[in-house]
Amino acid sequence: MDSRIPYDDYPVVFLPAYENPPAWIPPHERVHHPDYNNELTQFLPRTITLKKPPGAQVIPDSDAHRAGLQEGDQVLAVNDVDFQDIEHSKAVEILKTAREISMRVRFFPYNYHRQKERTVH
Amino acid sequence: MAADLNLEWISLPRSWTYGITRGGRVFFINEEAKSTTWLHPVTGEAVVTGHRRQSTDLPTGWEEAYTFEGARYYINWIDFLFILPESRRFSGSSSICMQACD
Repeated sequence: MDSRIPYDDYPVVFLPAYENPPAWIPPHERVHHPDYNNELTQFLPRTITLKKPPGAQVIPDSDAHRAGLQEGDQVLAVNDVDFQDIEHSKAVEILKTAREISMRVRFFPYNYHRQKERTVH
Repeated sequence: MAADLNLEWISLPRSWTYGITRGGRVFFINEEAKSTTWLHPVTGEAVVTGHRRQSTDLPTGWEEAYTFEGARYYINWIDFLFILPESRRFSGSSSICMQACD
């Protein structure tokens, strides 16, 4: 006899709808299709280096923007530390204490939009 | 989803090619069968799906994900199923509320 909680007492969650990949369409229809004519290179990881101005606590947005960071960029690593599963406080500590930040990022709008959905109430 | 996106998956069998959605997710196109899939035809794994990278103890084609509320579940990309750890199976096309775990 197992000691699991009866199903009626479990908290309820909502599973997201399964997303199928884009349906097959013939090649000549793909040219202007938003899901078919994307160049891979824009989604590849890239490295961005940022330096904190002397005496500053933060890096200005304009510097980040100039260095090539854009909305939808996902941070993969900072100064060789994996940021994909990192604890928030640790991430903050690294970003706060580093003088120079070498960020490995990747443009990934899919995740960005999902995160945006999660924070809308 | 490998952090460095090594592009080995780009090498595909004949009549297969790949596409990238507007969000940056990779999918594979079987031109002969006129079908598409998230799963690589050779490795059987999804590439760059946006879900948590596959833990080593999951079978090929499965990934781990979290709901909005933070409940963990598993995605079976092969059979289009979402599965909660109690092994209750639910149709992937529905977004009906289900019981949580943990």
